[in-house]
Amino acid sequence: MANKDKILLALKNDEEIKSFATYLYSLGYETATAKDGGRALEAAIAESPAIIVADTDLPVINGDRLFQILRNNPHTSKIPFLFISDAIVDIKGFRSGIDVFLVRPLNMEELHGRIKHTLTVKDSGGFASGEIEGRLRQMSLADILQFLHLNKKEGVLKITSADAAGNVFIKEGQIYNAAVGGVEKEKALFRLLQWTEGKFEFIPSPIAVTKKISTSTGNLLMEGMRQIDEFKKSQEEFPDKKALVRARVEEGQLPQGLQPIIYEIIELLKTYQRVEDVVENATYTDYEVYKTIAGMLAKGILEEVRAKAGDAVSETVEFLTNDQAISIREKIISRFSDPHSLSAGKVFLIATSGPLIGTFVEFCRRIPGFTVSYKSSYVSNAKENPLGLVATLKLYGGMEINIFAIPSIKHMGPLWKAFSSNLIGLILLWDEEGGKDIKELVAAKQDILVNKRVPVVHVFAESAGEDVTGVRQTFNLKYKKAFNLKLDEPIFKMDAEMIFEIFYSLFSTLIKEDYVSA
Amino acid sequence: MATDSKSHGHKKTVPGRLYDTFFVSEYGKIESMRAARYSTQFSILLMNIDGMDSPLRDDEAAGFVKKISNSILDAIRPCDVAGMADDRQVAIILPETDYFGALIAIRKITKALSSTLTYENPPKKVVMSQATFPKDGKGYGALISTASKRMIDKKDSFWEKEEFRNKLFWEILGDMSSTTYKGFENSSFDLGGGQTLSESFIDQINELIVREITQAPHKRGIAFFASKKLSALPALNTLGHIGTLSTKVFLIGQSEDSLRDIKNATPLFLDDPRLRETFFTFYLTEDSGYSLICRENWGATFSCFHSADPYLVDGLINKFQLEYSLQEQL
Repeated sequence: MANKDKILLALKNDEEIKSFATYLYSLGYETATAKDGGRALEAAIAESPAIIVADTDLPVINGDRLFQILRNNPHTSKIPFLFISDAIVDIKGFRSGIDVFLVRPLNMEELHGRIKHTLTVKDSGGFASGEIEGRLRQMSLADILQFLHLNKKEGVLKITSADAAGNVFIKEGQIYNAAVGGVEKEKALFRLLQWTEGKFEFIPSPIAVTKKISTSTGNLLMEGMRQIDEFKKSQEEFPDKKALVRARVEEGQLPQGLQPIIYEIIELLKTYQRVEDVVENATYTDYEVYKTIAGMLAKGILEEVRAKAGDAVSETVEFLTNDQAISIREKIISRFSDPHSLSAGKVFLIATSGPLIGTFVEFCRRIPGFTVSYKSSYVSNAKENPLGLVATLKLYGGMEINIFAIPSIKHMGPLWKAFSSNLIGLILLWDEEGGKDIKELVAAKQDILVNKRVPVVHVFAESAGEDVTGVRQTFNLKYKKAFNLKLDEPIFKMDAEMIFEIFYSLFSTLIKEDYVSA
Repeated sequence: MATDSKSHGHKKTVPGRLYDTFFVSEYGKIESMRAARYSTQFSILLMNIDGMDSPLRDDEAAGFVKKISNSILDAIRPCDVAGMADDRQVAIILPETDYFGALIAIRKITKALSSTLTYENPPKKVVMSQATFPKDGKGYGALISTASKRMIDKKDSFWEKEEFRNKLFWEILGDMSSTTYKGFENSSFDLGGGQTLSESFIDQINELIVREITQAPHKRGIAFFASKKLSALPALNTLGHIGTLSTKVFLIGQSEDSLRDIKNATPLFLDDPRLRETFFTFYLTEDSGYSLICRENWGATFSCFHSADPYLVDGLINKFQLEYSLQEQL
């Protein structure tokens, strides 16, 4: 049986053997040494090391020949080799992904990294492949997890549905963590437990994630199933996910000693108003958050906000037809030759200030499939250089449009070019104050378009008192000139009415025009 | 016989040749059709030797061409085909080779030629560019035209213009963090105490990179994150909770036991005091490159430089790997 941590060092140079052995010993490995191929062969058979570090240029039997002999011996055929050489040489039968080839000079840290990786791959029985796979329709996730628990398996259980994917990390049959979308732990696991369509694949491999779920697997699954049942039963009592709520009391007015979830919800309501956003960003499970919000509404701690005309959130609003969404998808596919990037396009939101981005995102909440990122408030609070993902727009067929805020000032130019892969559009935002620096916005637009030809939408945020036709026309002319726009090219006004038009304009130009990726 | 091939080791079984333009272009066309038929990739390299200021005499020219062709043929694989793309440029066809494979081939050939041309007078400089099928062109002609365009871009790049190829890694980092650049592609900025940008802006950039990596887990790439305290990198958490990535991620910094088992990243603990005051991020993919270098000054302020020049990123990664005796990999 292979000695789990024993490494055979078959190297011709005494000093190299000594330095390797000392270094590896300091990291807790046991080593055996051999100065020539003959002794290395003997040691490999007698001691069954976990890995052989061999010089290609060994005396008596060279490294290549040693490899051939040991590979043909059923007792040693599975031992991975880490070859060290002064130059690149061909090794017949080299198993890519299992054996490693390093050229001198060597960095000890890197050598250790390679040894560690090779041992990890070896422990998982070669390169990871799905040991158990199938469809959730045939076997529910709860059943799979129970099976893995009883068999004390270790690895990652991947679950994929039409438009999302999640992972459950298992060690010795216990669930260490789960992740889906931006959430993890029990919240993610309980969401995954509700999936009935999709595929699963268990990849046995040693996992190095921190244990974030402390409950035993049995209790966890029971609690998960209970919450799912309760959720179904009480769904009618819970507020609508699109409902807008607000706190009627300040956080400081709340008495001490309440459940921590209540404080968290009050905190989240400072940033989000919509129930689904609070549920999404809370650390507690979906059922717990809905239940607590319902309770807080009943006790008058929260109140439902009647949406203003402009904020009306309606599922009946049709944003894009399926045909249009498919056309957008096809357009994105035709732009990018990388088949793995097909499910996501990117839109840059370039604004003269962070708060403008916040306001824009607020208006966008009306759009079906529009999800605000939990980092958006952080981005919007940046006075200058707002940077990061602010929202995601999900379209029909699993297509995601990620909306990134990118700074407009010139010295942030490298970010525009470096992160513009999969870019499908630009939205430029400014207000009267930002209009003073309009040259920077114009320069940013031009520089991005030099590298990527994408549709651009211009959006001007008017202040409340400017809704006068004459003033608007003056601004329009001024900014059209600055951006070198034709008279019939629109500058959109940033308000709830126009938000759909902004995205229609972006997508319809994308579909119509023959944009070519630079 | 097997023993014959073994005794030759890595040497070519048939002596290589530098082919003429006709042969290379015909071979290139066939390779394009083959790659299209079997849905595989292949790359072509273009090579220019700059510094040929005065015309060579015929006998000198013959000797020079022989010298460089031998170096090229020694550096490439037996399956690669090298020849003249036109009167002035050499083209090398690399079957079954992607973008990163082509970059590694450029490194090998440039290295082989630089040792050959060390004592040349006037000094000569090898500049190479690449194009990969099918991303950069669907036929041999299109690939040559992409590679030619990139050759111009490369000669105009920040890396070549600043002559960084002749400098050491830390010398380059020192130059970049102490000079003020004001361009769209290469730019300097300050952050930290008293500045409009806070230190967390660096974390936002690193998070953006990790997001790019995790968004396309099958896409090849290489990323280096060097920091004073690696465990404080917010991006680490994301890397540990996703499936297997094709991008190679390296974490450079002081030794921290908690990072030895980090998933999807290889820690490289380097005991170098310079890493305590300068940190950097390099990210290279087939589509783009990004480098960020920040030097800490007095009063917790930072002088930073960032660039979207992929040649600079490639060059810095190469220098870093060579000077720290790391494996040359992409």
